Amino acid sequence: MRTELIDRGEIFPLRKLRTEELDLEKPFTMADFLQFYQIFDENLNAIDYEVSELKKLIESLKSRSEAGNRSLELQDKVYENLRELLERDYKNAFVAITYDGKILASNEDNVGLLEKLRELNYPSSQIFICKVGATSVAGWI
Amino acid sequence: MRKTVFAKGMYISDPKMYVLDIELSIGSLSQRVKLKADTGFNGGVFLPESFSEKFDEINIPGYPAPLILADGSRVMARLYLGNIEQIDKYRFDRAISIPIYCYGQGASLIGLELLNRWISEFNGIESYLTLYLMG
Repeated sequence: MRTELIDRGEIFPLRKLRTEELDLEKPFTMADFLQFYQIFDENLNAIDYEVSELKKLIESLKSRSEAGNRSLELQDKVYENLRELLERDYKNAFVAITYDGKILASNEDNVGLLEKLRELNYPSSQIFICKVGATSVAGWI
Repeated sequence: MRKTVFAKGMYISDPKMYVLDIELSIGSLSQRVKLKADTGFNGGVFLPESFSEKFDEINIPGYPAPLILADGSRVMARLYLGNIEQIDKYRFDRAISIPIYCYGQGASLIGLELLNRWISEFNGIESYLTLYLMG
């Protein structure tokens, strides 16, 4: 995991920042930054712009993350309704399912499934992809 | 069986990883990217979300797909079909179809789904990652 030293105000023009290591590769890095650092400076106005931009970024990341969580919940419900069929007939396969519970395509690998979906030309926002018997299609990044 | 070196990746110290210079194509878009070899990632290619925006601009369909991050959290990534055209100086006769996951602001990675296609030799600190073709 990459870490970067933030000191001497090179990134944020502050004189009183502590020298710490900040993980710049995590999602919500900026939120972590604001929570982690106690920003005390008499020239706080000078960083108003940066702070407001950071807050906007945090809000946007939060709302994207919340939307992602809602989609995951919905997908889990759809999967749960189809579990018996999926685990009987599509064991270990990658499947594309519509949010109204239709199994649109399946393949033993994800590339094959994406090729099938390209042929079908179905709106991508109305489908999700999952691996039968797993909670994710890939992981441990 | 004979093995032939076809590509090398450089070691970088921050973070301590090997980096491969790869030409990816997706739809009409072709781009050279530096991907960090991550043996802890079992997928193909992982790119930051900003690429997702580029792909959307040229109408490449991206499908929602759950992904598990190293901290155990389950997130919604977007999955695209792309191709690897070239690694280092080696251009493939026929591009390799790969899954591309886009999520978050993190690093660009190449995972086991691709590294397992070849013999990938990690030669230690301050040396090369060597990829071999079997022939």
